[in-house]
Amino acid sequence: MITEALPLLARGLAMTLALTLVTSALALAWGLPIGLLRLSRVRWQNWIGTAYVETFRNVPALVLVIIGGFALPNAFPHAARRALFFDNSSVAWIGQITGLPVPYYAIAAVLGLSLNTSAYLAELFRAGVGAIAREHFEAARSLGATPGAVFWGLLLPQGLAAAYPAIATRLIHNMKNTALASFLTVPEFFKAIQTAIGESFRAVEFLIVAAGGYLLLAALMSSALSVAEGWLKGGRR
Amino acid sequence: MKLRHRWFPLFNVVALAVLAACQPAAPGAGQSTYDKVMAAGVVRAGIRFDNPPLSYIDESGNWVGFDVDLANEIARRLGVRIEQVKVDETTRISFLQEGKIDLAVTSMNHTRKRDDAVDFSVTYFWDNQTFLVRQGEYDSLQDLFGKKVALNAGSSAIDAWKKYSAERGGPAPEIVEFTDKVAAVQALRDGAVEGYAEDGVTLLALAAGDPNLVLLPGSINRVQYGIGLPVNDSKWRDTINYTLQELWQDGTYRRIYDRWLGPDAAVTLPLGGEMEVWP
Amino acid sequence: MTRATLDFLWSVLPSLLIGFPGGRPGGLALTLILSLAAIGLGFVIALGVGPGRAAGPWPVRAACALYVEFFRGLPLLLLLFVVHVILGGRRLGLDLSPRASALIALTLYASAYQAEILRAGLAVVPDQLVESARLVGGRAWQIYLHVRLSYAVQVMLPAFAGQAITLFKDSAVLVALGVGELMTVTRSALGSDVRNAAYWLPTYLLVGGLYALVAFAISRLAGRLERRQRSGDLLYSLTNY
Repeated sequence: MITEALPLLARGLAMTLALTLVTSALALAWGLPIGLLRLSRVRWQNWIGTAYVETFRNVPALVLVIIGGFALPNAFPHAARRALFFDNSSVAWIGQITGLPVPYYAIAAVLGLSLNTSAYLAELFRAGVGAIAREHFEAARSLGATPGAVFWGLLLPQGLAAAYPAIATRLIHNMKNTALASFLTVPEFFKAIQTAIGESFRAVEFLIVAAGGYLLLAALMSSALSVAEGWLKGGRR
Repeated sequence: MKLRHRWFPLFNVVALAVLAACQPAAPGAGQSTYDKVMAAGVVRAGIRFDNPPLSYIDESGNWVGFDVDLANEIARRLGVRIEQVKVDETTRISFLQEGKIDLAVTSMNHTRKRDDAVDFSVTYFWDNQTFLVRQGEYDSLQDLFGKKVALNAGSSAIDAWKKYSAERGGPAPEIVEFTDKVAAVQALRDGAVEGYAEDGVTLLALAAGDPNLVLLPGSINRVQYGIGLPVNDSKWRDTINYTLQELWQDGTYRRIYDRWLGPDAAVTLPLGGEMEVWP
Repeated sequence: MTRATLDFLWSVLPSLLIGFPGGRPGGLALTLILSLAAIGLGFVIALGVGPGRAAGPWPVRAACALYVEFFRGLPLLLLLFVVHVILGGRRLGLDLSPRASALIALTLYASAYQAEILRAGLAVVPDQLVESARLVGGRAWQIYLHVRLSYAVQVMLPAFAGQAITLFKDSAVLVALGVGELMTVTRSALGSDVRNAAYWLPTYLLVGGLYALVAFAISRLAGRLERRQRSGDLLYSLTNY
């Protein structure tokens, strides 16, 4: 019964991994600049950073995912929806890579999860930068470092390192949140488990398999993140 | 090695718990659902919330529809209170297996595959599964072979469509599994999928607000609804069957049917069969 | 936004806030009740599990570690079904209603995170504080309760608040069981009429706003506490994981 479902579950697990990687990367890529905006002394920059963080951190990830997937297309004229969301060269390209029949739903899930996680990461990065000793900035300034050098040489590595444990926790939370993509028909691991239960009517067994799968993913991610922490701290020396 | 030794007893306990949980539930052992329902004075009925006109939620949050009226009437005849539990196609069978609900009045097609996991009452409803499409784009079921179509996760239409197209030499279908029926209809309207298969009467009700959505003629599957019941519990199954048959004989069934599907209803469907009634 | 949309939002707002007329308390009120109850019950469990993992005999430490890693490693959506179908199933004989399962799942989930926060707090209790308590003649259990634990809880208040907000928002997945909280009411209010499609975006934006408003209020409240206990947020970052 479980062996029959193995290909389905393996594909689901691969999709969950892919969603985790893409959303983590996007959340880091957006979260760090937003964290810098939050630190900015320029009023409008600070305001944008705050609005971004408060919006996407305080709205539940599931609401963001459903808004993107099922609600947003309704806001556009009926005739334009197909070309905008479901049938254009970009979604066709993503569909070709992923094999997903409706790539837009996966895109919506990725956007919702990334926006949510990036807002958390922005706040943690800001707190991390706040923990950098003032003397380091003064030293950098007295050496005549450019703002770019201060960012790449000081803010990014030390801010990340200080906030690292909390960022790692949030990234694991984000991995678990990819299960929300199942609401948008995306065949990730949780959706695959639902399908397997629907095929076999063995709910208890497959729920245990699901629990094992996610615990394994969490453990793997946790070790991968501590390896990465070693690199980060090693690189700082 | 030392660490492993330390953890071993703990893993042992976990493993035992997992094994215990995996034991098949002893069906029929102990008391019948009938005794439990009568003693508690409550019957827990699994109902769907997005399946018009059979079971859905109206604007004030009440569960209404043909299935809901039928479930209420069964509870009334048994002299017990009804507790409605929200289920969907992916949960109704496991909830029955695990005793979360006593019966599932959920427009459930009686198939052999499902009959291995749960039991069914006598057939109480007849319909056909077909596709909803955008008007003017497709004319026949054959046109949809190999196309991207929406189906409900856990629906019998999935197996039916695979079989239908395979038997007629169609390529393997591309299926998007929805759990939310309205989201599936929206996906069809917006061009995300080319067709959406469900039981005909439900498709008619879901698409009632959009004249551009039409049903394809023909049928991929004839469906016969039975009330889902816990497996191997003949006392409870008899009770539900006798009650259904009484409803059929004294005209109550017909009254409920006409209210939701008769000539004056928003969606009409001629009664598709005759309930088996035992003398 | 059209007049019809505003009328629709206005007509569903009471149900979103306190539930449908036949199912009160529901909606946001029920989301709040379930979250608060889970946070309170979870904290009681965390009071045992957190210190147990920090400093107990090895079987206790191992059991507490297993507890935390298990309930923190599962998506809440999955935990919900594990509790309802396995724990509340036929085999174990616990007959849990959807609401009971929802509360238990939320509680287990919250308690695992809270236990970790507490453990992190216990790790940073200054030795001098404990020493001075011993010097003034405190008994071991008194020192534990009134000095170590209370210091740990206080210093971690911002982290607890952050966890409370996360739980409140994560509870949106309860819609999968349909217990009548905010997300269930939202989906039900949109109904099965495809003509309501135009209302989906404004309705979910409104609901997102409701969640955000409550979350923002809690974080403001926590912000006041944080100003008093400046170090909590950073300590959490430094010690968790």
